[in-house]
Amino acid sequence: MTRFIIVRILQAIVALIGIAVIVFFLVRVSGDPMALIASPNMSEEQYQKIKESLGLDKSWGEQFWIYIKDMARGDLGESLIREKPVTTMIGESMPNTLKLTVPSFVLSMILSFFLGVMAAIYRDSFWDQGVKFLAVLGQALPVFWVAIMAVLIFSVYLEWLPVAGMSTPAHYILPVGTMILFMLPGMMRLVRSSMLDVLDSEYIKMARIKGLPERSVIWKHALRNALITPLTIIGMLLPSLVLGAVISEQIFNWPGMGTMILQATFERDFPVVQSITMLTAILVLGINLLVDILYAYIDPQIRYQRA
Amino acid sequence: MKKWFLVPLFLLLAAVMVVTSCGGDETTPATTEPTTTEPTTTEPTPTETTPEPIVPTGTLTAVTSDFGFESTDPIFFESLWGWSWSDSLLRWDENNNFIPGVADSWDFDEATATWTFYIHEGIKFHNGEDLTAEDVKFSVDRFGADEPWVSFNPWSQFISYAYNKTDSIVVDDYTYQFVAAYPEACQQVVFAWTRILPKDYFEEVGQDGFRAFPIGSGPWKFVELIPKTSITLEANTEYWREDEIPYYEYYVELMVPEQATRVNMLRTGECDIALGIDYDRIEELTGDGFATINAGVAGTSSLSFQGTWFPNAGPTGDIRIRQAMSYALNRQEIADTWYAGFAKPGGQFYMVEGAFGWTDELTPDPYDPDLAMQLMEDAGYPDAFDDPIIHTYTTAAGQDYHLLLHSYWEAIGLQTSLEIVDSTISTAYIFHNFVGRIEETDDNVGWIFDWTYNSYFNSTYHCANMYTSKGIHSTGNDPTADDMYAAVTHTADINVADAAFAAFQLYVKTLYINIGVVEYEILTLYNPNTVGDWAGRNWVSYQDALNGIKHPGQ
Repeated sequence: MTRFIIVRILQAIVALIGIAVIVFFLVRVSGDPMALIASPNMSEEQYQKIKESLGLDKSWGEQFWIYIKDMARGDLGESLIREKPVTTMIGESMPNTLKLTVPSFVLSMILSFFLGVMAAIYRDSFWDQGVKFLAVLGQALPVFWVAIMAVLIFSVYLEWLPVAGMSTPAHYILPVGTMILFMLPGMMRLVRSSMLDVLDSEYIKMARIKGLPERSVIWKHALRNALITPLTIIGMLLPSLVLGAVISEQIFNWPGMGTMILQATFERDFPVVQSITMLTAILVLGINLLVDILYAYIDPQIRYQRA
Repeated sequence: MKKWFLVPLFLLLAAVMVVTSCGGDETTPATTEPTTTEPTTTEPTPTETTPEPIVPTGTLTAVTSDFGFESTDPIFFESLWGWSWSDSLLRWDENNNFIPGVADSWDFDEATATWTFYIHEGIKFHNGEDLTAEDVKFSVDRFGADEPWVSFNPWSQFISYAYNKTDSIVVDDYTYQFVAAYPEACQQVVFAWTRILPKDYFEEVGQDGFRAFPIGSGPWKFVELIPKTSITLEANTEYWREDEIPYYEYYVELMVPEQATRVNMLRTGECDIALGIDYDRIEELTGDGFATINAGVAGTSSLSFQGTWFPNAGPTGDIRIRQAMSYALNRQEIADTWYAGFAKPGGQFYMVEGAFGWTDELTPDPYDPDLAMQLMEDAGYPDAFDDPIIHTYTTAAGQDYHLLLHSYWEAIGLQTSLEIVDSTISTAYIFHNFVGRIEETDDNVGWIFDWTYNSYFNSTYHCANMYTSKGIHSTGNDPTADDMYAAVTHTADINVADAAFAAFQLYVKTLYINIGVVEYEILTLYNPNTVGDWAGRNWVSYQDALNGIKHPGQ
């Protein structure tokens, strides 16, 4: 097991270096930020002075080395546009994003597991049909459209909830609800199909024949084995969570990381784009690592095979 | 037991169907008649009765799409917020006449080319310190300093030592002199833009400290700026112009990038004013009872031709082709459709009807496709050109508008190509990387860009960049235009300058290096149930109009 974890950590580090290289060069290919920063009244000397102060006069190779060196020290640089340390900016916006994504993630997981299992147990019932309908609806409707429609219905027509902001608990309902609808369908369908496979297996039939209580069969034996695939997908769901946050934050005017990366991309704010992308990559790789470990824990066959 | 689960699903589906099928029938405020408020003059008029003192109450909330260049330093042209908490040396009235700012009066000695400003006594900054000639000198010098302020300010260079300034003198506490190299009446434009900063406070806290918490003498006091999120201002109840004290105690501006969210916030009353709303939505919302006001000078859309004098400019190097491109445009149709009727044909670069130098002879070219085709034939188009394709460029955001223009050109047989470029590339083309004029080897020689922007009451200095051979946009290269421009900027008489500028405009129009398309209204949308009359200086800018916004029924 230890060897397995070490190998996976090393793989994650290699992947992280690869991502750092790709991100660094891709943002630079997109254009020169000096064109947005400089003034028409500026002399050549002034132009060069500012370019130098931002480190943009150095070669890409030199810039990359500084970037890697600083990142290793935890220094993510300073925003070219806002002249603030990126860590400060992330520190300001990250809590807001977490306030949105954590409850959305937790609630959608609880709901998807519960609804998925129920749909599998009551296969082809109205319950199952309802879950399938909800899943299709959620996957077919674009999240931005759902968000705008939710605002129109619940804020403009019914006047129940506020449109934008994050100052009261009521402000959380629409953005969190939208995020749930964004994450729920895929996971719910996966849990349902995975659960159906397990429920059809011989060992579950055996458990039932042996007279185990149905509750124990479902929630202890079947669900544990049905979790393997959904758990793998949770790691892959994280980038979608960030994407969902970008859209939700935009519609509900939520001052989080999603809004920040969108603005930074438009502004060619290299250090901000690089840092948030790297942070997302680290999160995704970290979660994937955790999932792999959990995966091995849940399914001893994997543990033994890899060991 | 199982069926209850379907109820919310059906309700959701039904709600979605109702909403999507009834999109136009939306919540309306109590007032259902469309309202368009005309700008109101608030210049002090003699009255016999003493007006009631203004006691600011409540919060005025506005939403905007983007804070843009969100600096709090009024030295920046883009820092329009600075208007709210600062006073300028001079101001201008509705008819473009210069009127007192912090200077009660001023005079100009032609023999010594010296401007003398007599500063109003008793003006206090928000920290309680007096505004004196020292502050004026500090502000003017800083504004005209040859430093990399990283600003797009088109005026600061015009009072810098490199241009027309030889000295800056504090005569006494309330008299300031600006010594120019030669008489230039239009410099008053720059003085009307120069906002007066508190010298002592600035020096005490430094530039960064000032930008973190700016102080001025204006009707609003800065409270807080949360970058890319919100800015909050508080009414200055001690404002020295008592009739211009704000009616609202607080002004909060939120950055809400999504238009649908801004519109919905206006509908639900979460904000009072929505900025940056598309014309078609404005039409819909005014139909639902929301109101609009023209705050600031109207905008213009014009087309600019770069490097037309170079041999490799292609078809746009021939004035007949440029004329054909102008005659091919159905400006009225563009105004009626693209601008939903909130525009009219015309407009020069940064210049709308009634602006400084305007003359009624500046009429837009008529829609005349036959004449356009005749001009093309006279120019031998397309055979006379090695490469008959005419290029325009814009960013992705501007592509639809360009496609509209291309459709008119293609209708008369011009071969066009739209180049969608990154905003960085677009900016670099328009300003040639900020380091000089276009060169013959550059990609964009002979190409066209559109300039769609708010106009200004006096565009003298903007036009230097568009029409003269030193202009940063690399569109002008005509000695006569240069001489005529010099005539505008080398006179002490503003009326002479006005006439010279009109003559200059008529001349540069014949060069077809910049052609006006339409003049469009800059509309601010608001809820008439929560916002009353706009009684401020609406003709200057939205920020200048703020302190004149009243409560309903006030």
